[in-house]
Amino acid sequence: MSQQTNKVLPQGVAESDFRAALEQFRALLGAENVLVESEQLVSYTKIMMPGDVARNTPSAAVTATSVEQVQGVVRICNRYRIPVWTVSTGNNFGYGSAAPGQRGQIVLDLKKMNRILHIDAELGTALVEPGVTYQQLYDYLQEHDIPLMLSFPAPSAIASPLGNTMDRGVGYTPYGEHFLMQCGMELVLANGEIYRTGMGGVEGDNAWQVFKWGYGPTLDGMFTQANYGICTKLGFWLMPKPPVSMPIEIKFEEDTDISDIVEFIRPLRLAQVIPNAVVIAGVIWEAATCNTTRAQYTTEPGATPDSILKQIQKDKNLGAWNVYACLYGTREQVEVNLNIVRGALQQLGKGKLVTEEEAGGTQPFDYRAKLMTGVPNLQEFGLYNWRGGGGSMWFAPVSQARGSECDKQYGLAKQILNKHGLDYVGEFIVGWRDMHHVIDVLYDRTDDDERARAEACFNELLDEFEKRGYAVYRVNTQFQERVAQSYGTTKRRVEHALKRALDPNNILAPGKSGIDLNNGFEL
Amino acid sequence: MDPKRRFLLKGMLASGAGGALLGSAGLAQAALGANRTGRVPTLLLSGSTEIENSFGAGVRAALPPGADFRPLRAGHVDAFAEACRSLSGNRPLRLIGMLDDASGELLIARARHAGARVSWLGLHAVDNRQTRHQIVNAPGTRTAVLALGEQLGTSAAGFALKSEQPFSEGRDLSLAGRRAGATTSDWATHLGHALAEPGRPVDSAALAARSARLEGRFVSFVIEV
Repeated sequence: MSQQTNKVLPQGVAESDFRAALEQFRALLGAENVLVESEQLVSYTKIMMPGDVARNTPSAAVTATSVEQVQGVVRICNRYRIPVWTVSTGNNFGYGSAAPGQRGQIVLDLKKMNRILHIDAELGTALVEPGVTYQQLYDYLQEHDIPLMLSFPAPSAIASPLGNTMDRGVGYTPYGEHFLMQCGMELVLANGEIYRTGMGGVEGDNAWQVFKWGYGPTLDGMFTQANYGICTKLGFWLMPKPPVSMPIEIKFEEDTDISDIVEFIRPLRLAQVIPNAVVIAGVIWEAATCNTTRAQYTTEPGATPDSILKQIQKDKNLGAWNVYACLYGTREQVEVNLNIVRGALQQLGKGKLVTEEEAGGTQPFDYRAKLMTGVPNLQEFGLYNWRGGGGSMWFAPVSQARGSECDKQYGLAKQILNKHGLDYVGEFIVGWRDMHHVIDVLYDRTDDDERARAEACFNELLDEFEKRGYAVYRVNTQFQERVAQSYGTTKRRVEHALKRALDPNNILAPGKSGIDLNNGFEL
Repeated sequence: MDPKRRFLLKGMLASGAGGALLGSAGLAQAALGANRTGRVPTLLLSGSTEIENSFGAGVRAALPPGADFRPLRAGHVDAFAEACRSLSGNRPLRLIGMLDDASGELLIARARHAGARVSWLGLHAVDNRQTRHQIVNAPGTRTAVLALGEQLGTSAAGFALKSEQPFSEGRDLSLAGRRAGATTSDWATHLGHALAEPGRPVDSAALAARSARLEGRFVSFVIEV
């Protein structure tokens, strides 16, 4: 039996109690599912945030294979007041990965709960466990010749639909707002009880994955980006695979075009002529994902000069902004909608439309087309090689889908990033009426000075955007307390009242989204 | 005073970790305890030909004749996939390698998913001005950190080496050097050697002859299944 060789303890837990808890975990899960040796835990410390690794080092990691085991883990944690940080597949790169939010928390890794419980080909629904990946689901649909299409984030192959949806992630298809497509959760509460949302509590019901609301208060949303329960099953809707999918790209030459692009796209998106979550990606993003690195152009420290960005744009045949959209339906429907898009573009008087045939299988068009048509891939990992050094933080403010707003956000973000010697590597994802402005703050973790600049930059981004009424929809674990402050004290007091009621011992992921009973918020 | 010894002492003072650090005289002794791998087969994964010719050359030089060793061909489209598959296999093995950041990120995620043991995880940034190395390692590979520090101290133009010890009570190790005019070309070869066989004496001249210059950003790792 492996003994704990690391010296990390959960906060406030005596070593003897922790040892007793580990014994009980072993009895419940089997010794091989209780990881306490340093070598077993190093991979859980792989972070991309600027703080020291020690801040996010677990005391142990445990893996469960059933809901009953999750209930058992929660009961042991309650008994010894051990804080537990849950991950599904832990591939939330740039948001915290598989590392716990606070030092000493144990990680409950649900990777082994990886059963696809049900796919309804006629109704287009799925019910999965936390460890299921999009690749696994894609393979299942292919093997069983089920004509349904997935929507997923860029690290699609290895990410978990459950994890991404619970963190309110987005994809690039018409079903790209993943939480909107969620239908039915099963949660293990802090006291070990099982709670099912929507129709899930009704004995013998078969509408759990088709009707979201059930009866009385609908609580699904409060369990997302939260720490009130551990999600062990998630239902969601899948889009019927259309007879024709036509991915297109529209390249725009100047970075000052962003306002016009958004005004051009919004009516088409609202009218569902373009039904998918359209992407408007900047030049570095697109260059990096087709294997361009900064070092190929310059080794000088600091922000990459605009003159080099223009050169990259030219060399790689990119736009300053690259719009990716997809049309779906019958051949006739797609043809009609394509003509509408062409007409609108002609009216705009700028932008070059590229079809899949014209792109000829080249990157980045190819991986973008795959993302919009439900084929998993990992091409976007190329972002991590742009600057290199392992640092990445997603800064993701939302805005109205208005050109003036996007123009303002882009200008402000670029100015702050460049001031700190970093690059604007961003894209806008066009939601129904909103924009997710997603910026990858890439930096070199091996460089102490750059780490410090990245941290200062992220703080300044949060501060300056907040002054103008903007806030992020999601953030890495290092900044979750800071972002919670942006949303106001009343919200925090309500959240802590719920926490106190549902998890009085504060064992479930304390600190998640700034919710931690040690914060002292009272309603 | 021997320059190596002076370098290490400076580092100990800089890091405040004097009590926790070994001097060069203690290296060999520590290495004996650290070489726990026995004769587990070694798989080498190099992310490029340059890595294969530097880091990989060090690994090859360290392993004794007849060692069960298999390199995965650099740049081969299936090499990464094969390495990932090996993590999930039943056969005990040691995967040593160096990749670009994107591939390294993916590989570590796969190692975690497979429940493999990661005893070394390094980030390296190297250009013609300096080298920077940030390591998270389990206690068993501490000797390799010291070996890398020793090599950088004697031959690197300018360097920063930081080793985080998140699981131990010992303090982190932080070393830096600003000496001008020396080469940075063989750090990766020495690192490959140190990770493959911490206890094997280093023939610096032979290693230098084998090594190729390596610049860029890299992730190094030792993973045991």
